[in-house]
Amino acid sequence: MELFKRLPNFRPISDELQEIVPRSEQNNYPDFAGDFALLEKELMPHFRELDNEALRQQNWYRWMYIILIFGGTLVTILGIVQLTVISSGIGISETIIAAIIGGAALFINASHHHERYFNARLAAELLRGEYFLFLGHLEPYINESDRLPQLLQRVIDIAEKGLRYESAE
Amino acid sequence: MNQQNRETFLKLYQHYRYEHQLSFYVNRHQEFTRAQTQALVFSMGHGNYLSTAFLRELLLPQIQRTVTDAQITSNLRSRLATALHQLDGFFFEFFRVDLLNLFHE
Repeated sequence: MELFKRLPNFRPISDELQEIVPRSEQNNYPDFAGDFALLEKELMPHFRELDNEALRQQNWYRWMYIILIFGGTLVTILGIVQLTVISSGIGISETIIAAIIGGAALFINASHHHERYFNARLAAELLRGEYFLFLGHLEPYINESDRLPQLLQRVIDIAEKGLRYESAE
Repeated sequence: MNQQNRETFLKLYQHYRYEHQLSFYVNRHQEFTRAQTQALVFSMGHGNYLSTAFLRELLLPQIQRTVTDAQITSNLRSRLATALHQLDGFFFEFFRVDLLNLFHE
């Protein structure tokens, strides 16, 4: 059911190695074998790291909403029950749960999962783009002499920005 | 890069970048549409608080793969179409990607 397909899970990262062009398919392009090997060595580790980071942060972001939605619902239900059933236990439980949710909300807000997820995803997708620019000998990888240094520099720049979170405040 | 390599690259790009990205957007759009319908049905029976919250915060499509290779998609899209002899279909499909981009923002 698509409605619940994007719920968070306990293992957001798959065991399968992320590929841009699957290794089995790379054999069909022998002219690019050298470039594929270079990209696998210099770009793909950063791409996988950023992709996994994006998945982790996205999963945390989703957990945040699950906690807030269901926690908020539970506190509301307990409040309604307290109106009909006179019991101090319910009031205490409600207060404890509300305090826990409040603490969780503060912690989650301070963790900036959403911003980190966007940051990592953007960087991963930029690296995906660099992969094809390098393969196609397109700008900025036109000159044979400085293709590799350009790739190394750009990959490091993008990866650093993707993993670093700086508050806009 | 010689002509043969250029054509090989264009085929590779079309398959692993363009078609991959297009199918991602199409699938995500279909998934979102189905989820939206299911949420509406769900909200009819269970009040709309939870389902609305799910829709807004959990089911929003991922901001993913929205970064395109401007050098290739803008400069080469006509050349790609010409090279692959698909001027009528391929060229216009890039605009479909742009349209789907809009849906996902």
